[in-house]
Amino acid sequence: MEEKKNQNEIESVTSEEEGAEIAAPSGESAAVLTDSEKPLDKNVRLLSPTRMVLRRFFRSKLSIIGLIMIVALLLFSWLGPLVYTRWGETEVDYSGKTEYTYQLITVGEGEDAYSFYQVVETERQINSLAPLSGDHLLGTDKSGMDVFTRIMYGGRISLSISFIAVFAITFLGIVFGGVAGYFGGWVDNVIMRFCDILSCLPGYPIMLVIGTILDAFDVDSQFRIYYLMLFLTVFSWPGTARLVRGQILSLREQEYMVAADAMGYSTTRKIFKHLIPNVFPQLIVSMTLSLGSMILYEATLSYLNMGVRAPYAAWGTLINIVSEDTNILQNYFNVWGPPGFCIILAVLGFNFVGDGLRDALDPKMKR
Amino acid sequence: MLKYILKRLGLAVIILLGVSVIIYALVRAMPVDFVENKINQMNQGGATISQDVIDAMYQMYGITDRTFLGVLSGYWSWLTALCRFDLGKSFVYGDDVLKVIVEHMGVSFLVSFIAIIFEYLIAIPLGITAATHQYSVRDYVVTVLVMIGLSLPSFFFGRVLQNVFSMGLGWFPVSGLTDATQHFTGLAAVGDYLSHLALPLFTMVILSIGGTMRYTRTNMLEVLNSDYIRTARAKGLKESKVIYKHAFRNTMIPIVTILAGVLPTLFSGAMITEQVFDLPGIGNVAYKAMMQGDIPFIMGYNMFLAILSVLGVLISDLMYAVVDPRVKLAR
Amino acid sequence: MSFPEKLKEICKRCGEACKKAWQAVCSFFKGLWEKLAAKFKKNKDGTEEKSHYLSGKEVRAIAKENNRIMRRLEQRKKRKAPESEFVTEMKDPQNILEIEDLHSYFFTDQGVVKAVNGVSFEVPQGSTVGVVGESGCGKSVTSLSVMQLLQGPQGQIYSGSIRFKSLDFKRGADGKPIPIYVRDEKGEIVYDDARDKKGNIRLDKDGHPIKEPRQQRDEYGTKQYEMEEKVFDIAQMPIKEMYRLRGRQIAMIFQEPMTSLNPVFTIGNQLDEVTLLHFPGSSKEDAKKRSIEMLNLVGIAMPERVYKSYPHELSGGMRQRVMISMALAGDPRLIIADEPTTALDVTIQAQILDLLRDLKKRINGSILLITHDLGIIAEMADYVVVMYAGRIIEQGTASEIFHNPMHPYTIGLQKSKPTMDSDSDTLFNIPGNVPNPINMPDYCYFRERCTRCTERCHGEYPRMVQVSPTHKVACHLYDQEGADEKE
Repeated sequence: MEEKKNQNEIESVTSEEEGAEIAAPSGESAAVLTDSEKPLDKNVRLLSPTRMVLRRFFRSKLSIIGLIMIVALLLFSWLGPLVYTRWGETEVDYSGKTEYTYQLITVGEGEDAYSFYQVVETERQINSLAPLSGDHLLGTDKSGMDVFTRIMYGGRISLSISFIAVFAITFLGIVFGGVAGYFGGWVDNVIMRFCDILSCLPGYPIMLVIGTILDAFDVDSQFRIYYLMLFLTVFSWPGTARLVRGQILSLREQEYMVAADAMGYSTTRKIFKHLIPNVFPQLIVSMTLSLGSMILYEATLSYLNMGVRAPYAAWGTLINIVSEDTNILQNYFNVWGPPGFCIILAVLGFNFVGDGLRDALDPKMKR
Repeated sequence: MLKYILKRLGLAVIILLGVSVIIYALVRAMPVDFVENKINQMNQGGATISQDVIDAMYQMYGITDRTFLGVLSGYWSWLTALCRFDLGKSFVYGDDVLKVIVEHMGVSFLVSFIAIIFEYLIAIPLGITAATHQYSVRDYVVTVLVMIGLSLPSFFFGRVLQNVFSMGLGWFPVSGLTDATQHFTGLAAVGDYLSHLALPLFTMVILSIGGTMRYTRTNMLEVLNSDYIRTARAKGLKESKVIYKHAFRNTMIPIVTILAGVLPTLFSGAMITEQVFDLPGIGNVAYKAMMQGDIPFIMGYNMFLAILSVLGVLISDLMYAVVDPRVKLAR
Repeated sequence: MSFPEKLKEICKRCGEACKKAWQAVCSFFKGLWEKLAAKFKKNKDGTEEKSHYLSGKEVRAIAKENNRIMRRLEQRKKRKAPESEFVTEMKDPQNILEIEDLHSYFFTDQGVVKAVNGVSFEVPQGSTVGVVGESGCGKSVTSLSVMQLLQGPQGQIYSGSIRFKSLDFKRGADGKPIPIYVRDEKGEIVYDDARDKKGNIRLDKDGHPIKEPRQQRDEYGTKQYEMEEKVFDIAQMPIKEMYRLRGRQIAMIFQEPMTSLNPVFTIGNQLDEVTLLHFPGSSKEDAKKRSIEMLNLVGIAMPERVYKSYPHELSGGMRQRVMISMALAGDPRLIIADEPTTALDVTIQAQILDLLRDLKKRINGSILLITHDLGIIAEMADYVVVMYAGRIIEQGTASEIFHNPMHPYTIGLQKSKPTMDSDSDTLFNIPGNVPNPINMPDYCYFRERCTRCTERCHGEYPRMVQVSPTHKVACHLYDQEGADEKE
């Protein structure tokens, strides 16, 4: 009997307002706000989006390590020369050194023969290939320049150039990819075919050709690498452009873009409110990863004697020396080893961070 | 299917035309006197480049005529010669460019082919274990090792290997493909080859494992999260069968596609590695020619590479249709 | 100016730029810190409401705790355990599945999501039990828990028991199933000549044909073995032991027929797998025969052709039929259908439901039907379980739930179903949403959406009240009655 009555009551309550009225006393009676008396949804505390990304990024120890590596290298190459001013980038150590060469010489024949060491003392003007010491932390190279200092200056060139190149590539990629994806039709077709052509060009060989052209025009060896990276940028934007275009095309199909259309949003608003924030995470990831590959590219070009040339320093240039001199390759690891490790550290750092960012920014990732 | 292939072929021709324009433009950007200087240098260095060869080249590229029409006609004569597979004569090697390329292609292909077999044999199992043990210690260790490999500059790693294994330990020869001081036959010759190739192969494999492994891992993770894997588990299949039958096939689709695309580019040679270990492959040969400004070789080699990469894209697209039953090339 | 000087100047400028940048960064962080500090102060005073978001410290604590529990549960799932650890007894031998106080949690960064929070119900043999609720109320998680298919390591069965009565092959001393042989009238085993793969009679050394006992086969030609009933506690079972239940004893039909079939294998391949896996001694031909029979059974017109085709060549309805045939191929005792018709057209829906009902009779199995559609439940189910925010709020026979719903939520659900004869032009809706089940307080979760709240609702979570032998409801309205009567 009671039940039925209750049921009737409920059925009489049809509108929400009345429901609210009945529910209202419950709120009033809970004048003292204890934790359990708050509405259910208020009880649930979420991760803020920023914190979620940070949390995912820092979950992996690798991204932290990568970040530390990059920051350390940046500090090393930019603040290093300001702190350690003992030697300049192209400063040659003229302190000179005395070289001794030994030679075993045998005189006489038969039983009268005796042998002695002949010591030849040579005075050199340049303190070249000096060992590790307090004066030269990593010794000096063949022309008597301090290796440690040159690594710091080399880092400036290598890091800054790859940053510039990556930003330029991303800029071109966004512009062309965005135009292609947004307008579609023949514009898209032309740009994409152009992308195909550029991406079919071989990488290093073309850069070698351009290097030869720069030779032909007698470009200052300090600025060669900038020209080279300029051309590299011109040849490398298709990747980013494809990414942006693909994202925009797929986003245009998404329901929320249709919804934005239906709401009568303006084009600029659509682009800046919806498209850019959606493309951005992917772009950041690809930028970080291509920073690493740009460093490798620059180092390889310098190694092939196409980029920065001695006496100016870049990490690749510092290693270049071994391809001419086997003696250095064999006996003076301190001259060419450290810059190599710097390259590895930088590339590895960017790869770690890029990987961490990909995990952090991917909205599909659940954990 | 046939229509699709024809369409793709047409597209490939257009792309190659574009590439040829860019390459020609780059080479034409060199001043003529620079070219002459280079030739003079080569002649002084003991090479004998007859005036005939130089004239032939000038005529072929129309280099002396710097007017717009001259450039156009120069491009046209070069392009028609290209269509007749006539790439001109190389200054440095004193032979037809095509012949030089074909001669040295074999070594490059052999090295790259062996390297790619090792690469896939190691990278795919690594990628699968990393994916199936996501976030475990194993995943981290594999990822870190592979990332280090990915970050190594090939020239530096090659030099380190030379320093340690050839000069330090003396296990392998420093460079070259054969031991010039001795003459081997039969098995000994093969052994000699292998000992020369060990270090370059190691370099190439270590450097390239990273990309493939990461790719396998990402794909595998995506597949493992899909509904049909849940279905397979619900059927009562053992985890190994779920992974190696149901997930593996789906993971392999993109990998096989990429592998097919890579095959043609195996002929293009690994320039840096070959240069470091001084292998007589096409990459090293091209490097030397380019450093001396051998214009016919530069143009021929770049076109050759472009053709290979266009072919690679084409093959990988067709392969996609073969491997994945869902794809129909009806477009 | 010589080059080193130039460079020095560049460095100097760089240094200055660095300094400026550093200052900018410092001021930025200072501002940030001040903001944070201000926020913190407010919180301490208690005047302001707590931030809507979790603080970093809390997040770290949550992650640490989660990792600990997840690791423990994962290890437990992977352990090797003797059968005695997870073989139990049914409380009621009439039931095929008994779920008791099941807790299935997801360990996320935001806290533990108690997706299933103390659920208990039974599936009697040969009946259909429907589980209804809004999306996100934990019904799918319940079904996945029964299969131990929760996506680890986040999703875990935390506690409780899932008792399942399986009918498995009786295994002899050698661990192999014991075959049933065909006997003639005298009780003697019938012997056949052994044949090799090509169909020739195999001979022994002396030239006599080798005899082998003829094994009994069922109507689809699958070999028969002796069976025995065993009760397993699935919640305690290591994942390795689950292989013998999944597909063979409990089969599952999923919501998305479009993505639930492996796109790179033919239907035949995927169907045969089940037979080959679960019926020892069956050959490829046996499997194919059985698969085609199964396709026939689910009403596919051209089974031979479907057998050879790939999933993408079939329509959604056909794929769902294939999924059902795949579930049937293992000859299961319990079929879990997780929203089997949600992704299908209405006409196809009806066909699939008819098929399921028809099949249940034929295979003499039980069905656990998960859906949000009350109409389907009304048509199909014998018993109904209504879930809300990870808990059962009402359960009973279908007629009890439909004719005498008691919980305000159930009543609301029924009223929100569109009918032809209602005179109002708007549909009834229950205001609000299903709450996100993190940090649930100890009171009725439906309180805020409920129109019949009483004083008692501010107290603890209502207990299950037995209204009739089969009908239970978790609401203070009815508990109060009970309390009054006692007094």
